[in-house]
Amino acid sequence: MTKNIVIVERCVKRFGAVAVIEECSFSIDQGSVFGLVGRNGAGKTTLIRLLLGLLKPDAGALSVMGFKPWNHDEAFYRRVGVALEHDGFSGNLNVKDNLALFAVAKGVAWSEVEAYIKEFWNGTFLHDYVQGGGKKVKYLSRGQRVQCGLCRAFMGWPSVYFFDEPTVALDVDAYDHFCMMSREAKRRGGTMLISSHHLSTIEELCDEVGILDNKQLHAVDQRKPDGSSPNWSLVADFSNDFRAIIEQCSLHPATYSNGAWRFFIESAETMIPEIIARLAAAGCRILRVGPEKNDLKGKIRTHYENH
Amino acid sequence: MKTISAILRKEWNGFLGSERGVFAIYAILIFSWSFIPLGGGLAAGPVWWLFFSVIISGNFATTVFVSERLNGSMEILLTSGFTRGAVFFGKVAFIACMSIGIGMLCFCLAFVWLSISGRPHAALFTEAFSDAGLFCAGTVMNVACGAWLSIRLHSPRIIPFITLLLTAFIVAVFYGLAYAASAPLWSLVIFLSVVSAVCLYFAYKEFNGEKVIQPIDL
Repeated sequence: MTKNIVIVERCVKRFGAVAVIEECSFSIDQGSVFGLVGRNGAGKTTLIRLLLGLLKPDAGALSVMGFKPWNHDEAFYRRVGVALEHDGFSGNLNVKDNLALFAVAKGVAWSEVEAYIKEFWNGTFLHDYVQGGGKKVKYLSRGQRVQCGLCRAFMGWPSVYFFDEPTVALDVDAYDHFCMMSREAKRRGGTMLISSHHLSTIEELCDEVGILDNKQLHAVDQRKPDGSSPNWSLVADFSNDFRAIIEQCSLHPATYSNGAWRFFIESAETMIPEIIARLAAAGCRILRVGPEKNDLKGKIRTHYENH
Repeated sequence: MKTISAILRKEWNGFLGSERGVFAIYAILIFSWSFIPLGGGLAAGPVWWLFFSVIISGNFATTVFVSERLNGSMEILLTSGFTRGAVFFGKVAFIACMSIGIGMLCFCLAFVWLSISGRPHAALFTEAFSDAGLFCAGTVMNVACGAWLSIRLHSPRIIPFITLLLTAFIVAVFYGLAYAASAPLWSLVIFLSVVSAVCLYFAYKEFNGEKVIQPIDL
């Protein structure tokens, strides 16, 4: 049974008379990666700040791992990994001293941090810098600082992660490294919320995608845990009998356009062969069948057009 | 205590990592201010020492609280696992220690100049002691006031002016009372301590609110 780690119920946040979040409700299951998208100024960072207890909701309830973020519990923050717009490092300190400070904050022994760096950041500049102290952080490039921030966020493998534009300024290798670290965190049972305008990041990592629009969160995409879309497309003949077969098997409405059936399916491994067999038996010519290519950009555009 | 000392160490190491020009400015300030007692002994008057505490602590409060908000690192620090109390009191302790330390360095240097000038200074110890107490009380008040204002205000540039105005107001009231009812100097120390406690209370309250991450106008 899945457990909701993040629960937001009818949350409202106003700045003066202006409401940024209004009656917003959603939840994130344990071990899932939730992608947060939305227009500039839609309130994504505000939502993350509310979930981190940096802002107090005006109404509604927020819960992360059973903690109320605004209570500022030390135990809550020790189980949360954060990478926000700014890296949060002291520019006059070197990489090692900065990470050592946050290790104290997280209650992680330095020997554990060294083992973590050795295992997961070997081959990166961070590994060398932590061994030798390295440059002061203020002399690092932006991308390097972002990597340091990600290294800190995954340190101690927290239970919940909040990332606000985590891949900005990352090069190809660093981006791949972030994806690898995210998958490792998920494998260890971590739950993530990633806010990004880089849709490739969202598509690559997220199980669910929500769009923050008109002060509320709307679901725009849901995929299976293996990353594939539960939406399937079947290029075949049209007939209402065929529609009935698909809907009986998939238990969801099916639509027909441009010569293809589109439908949502929970268990493709068992249901797709059955649908094909029954359609073939009913005389339907099937040309192609497969999961729909996930077009997140198109879905977001469709959402904007419909709302 | 471990987390407060970690914040204190962070600030100290950050200060040590500053550009050399920063140290040069503090050296010049300490050196020039230490000559003031040569004019009237160490009893150069409480205003001089209080004014000195405004400059030093105001500068540190701006650096420690405001720059953290300015570069966005406050958000990370507050969500890192440190309690808000540890972050706040660690920073306040750093500013107070640095300001008082620099003030004491200035006092010591003043004694050196008095010794070199051959003036009798043994009799001035009592006055120096009360002046040092006044300096410490003034510093703590300026630190607390600076911390509060640095969270409360959108524009940190006016923090030193407000702390200066507050200090000047308190000193003016004290001199008024001293003239009317011969109030002793220790009463000023007590009054400064009370104002410090009030400012510290409000600063901590603000630090636990949303304003601690509000944007800053420069």
